[in-house]
Amino acid sequence: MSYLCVENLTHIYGVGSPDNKVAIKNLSFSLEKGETLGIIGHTGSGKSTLVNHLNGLIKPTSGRVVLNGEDIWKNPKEIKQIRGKVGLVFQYPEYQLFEETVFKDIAFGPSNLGVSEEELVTTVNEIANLMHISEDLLSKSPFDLSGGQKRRVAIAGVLAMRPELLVLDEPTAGLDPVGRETIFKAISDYKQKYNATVIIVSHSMEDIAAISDKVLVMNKGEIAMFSDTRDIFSRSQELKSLGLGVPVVSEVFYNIKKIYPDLTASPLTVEEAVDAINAYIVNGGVSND
Amino acid sequence: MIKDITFGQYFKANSYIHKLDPRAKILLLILLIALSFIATNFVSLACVVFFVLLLMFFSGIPVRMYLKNLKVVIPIIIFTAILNVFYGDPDTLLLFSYWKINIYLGGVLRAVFMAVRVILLIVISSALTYTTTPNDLTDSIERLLKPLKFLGLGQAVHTMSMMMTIALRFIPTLIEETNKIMNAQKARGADIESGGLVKKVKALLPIIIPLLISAVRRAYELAEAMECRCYNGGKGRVRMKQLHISWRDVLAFVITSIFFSGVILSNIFIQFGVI
Repeated sequence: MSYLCVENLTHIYGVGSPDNKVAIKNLSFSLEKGETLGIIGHTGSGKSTLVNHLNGLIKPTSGRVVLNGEDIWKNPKEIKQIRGKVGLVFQYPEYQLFEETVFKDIAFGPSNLGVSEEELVTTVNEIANLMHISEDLLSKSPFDLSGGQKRRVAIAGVLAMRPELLVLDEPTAGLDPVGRETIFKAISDYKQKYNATVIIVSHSMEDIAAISDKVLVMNKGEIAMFSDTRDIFSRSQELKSLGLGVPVVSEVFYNIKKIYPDLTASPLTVEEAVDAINAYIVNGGVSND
Repeated sequence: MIKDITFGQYFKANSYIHKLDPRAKILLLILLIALSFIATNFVSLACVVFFVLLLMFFSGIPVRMYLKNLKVVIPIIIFTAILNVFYGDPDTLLLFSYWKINIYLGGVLRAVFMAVRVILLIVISSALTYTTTPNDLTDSIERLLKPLKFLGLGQAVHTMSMMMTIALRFIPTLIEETNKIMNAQKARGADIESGGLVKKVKALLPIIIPLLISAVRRAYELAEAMECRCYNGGKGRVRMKQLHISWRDVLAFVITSIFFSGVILSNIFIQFGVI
């Protein structure tokens, strides 16, 4: 049995009213522990609805979410426990900051889960360190920080609950390249340290290609494609027909391959592309892939 | 809970009432409210009730939408009714007596009368907001108050109506924002539903603070966006949508006037069930 199983998940907004809307329809997929899943899809394809189901913020109309072999709605009173296990970072999470100091804001999540005072201090320091939040920031008001710092504090607020499944909805939207880099680095550090499973929703194909093992493509509330990353991005025509794209490198390489048909690699990052071309040149025009 | 707020919501349809000029609708609303207060006996009240039923029918809004708004004010209706039961005319039939509390038939009738009056008020104002878009509404308020410019209040009238337009425009945005923030805090383990009053109020802080901050942020952004488009108050502004009085509006006024005189006549000539 896989770590996370989503079974026939369907959600209809406004059940019973004439203007109801099917947001997601019959979704089924599973994920192993420690894997990273990227979710891509158009605006309104049901990504956020799916993500909100994973920690029980919305109840499925039908179907279920099974975590560690147990339906998360098995005991509705214990749903708070699930929210500690499944950390959900929303889009633009900096708008949820409210405490007087950065420290208190990061501590809000774990203290809701009943973590003791001393443990709180070590947890917050650890996570702040992981998210590159320097110590002098911890006593500042979160409203005095820069945009990128606020974003990191907000994500730290979720990480501080030490979720074993971390779900991030567009964690780097609106950030500069350095800010993006920092956040992705921190996420993979967290993942390694706590052996966590990560799900990332993003519009950036580069980000998805760089970080995820598997990719789920959503279209009109249904799963259009679900496979490992390399496989998904080698099907660029299919992605384009869904109004999505592939990473720029893959696109460029696809066109290079038209000129050099015996170049067979399908790289996802710039580094991989460089390696593939180098190998091709060294081998005298014969791909070793 | 937040989803249940329908007050001030526009309901799209293509009815006779929808097609009326919003200015006419506001004037008719004032007239109708006055009418339900002028009615002093059950016959004239019945007249108003009949008229409001007609209004509901011709507004093309499903009855359940009206009931939805009424549901919210049920406590107020009950409260008004209970209060009025004790203020009956002592000359009428004594129905119930215990210790110092006497309930007369007059009191019960009065309670029913007042409850009907409150229900009428809600239905009438819902009919206006359901059939008129918020923009039309504030626009026509501005125009109805135009004569105030002779008192030097022209700019104030424009500012007021712009403020109302913006406030109405942002109600759904803020509701959406509240939901988002609530979900975000719930995801951080915040417990909003359970606990005593003090705990509940405390639990609201993580929602209210971000909401206030984002409202202020939005206000700044909006102000800047408006200035970028050279907004400088009402001076020299022209209208994109012109309103016209049509035969419908005239007809509506004629019908209302007939009912108005009906109510006044029955007030004068009928002495049955006077409250």
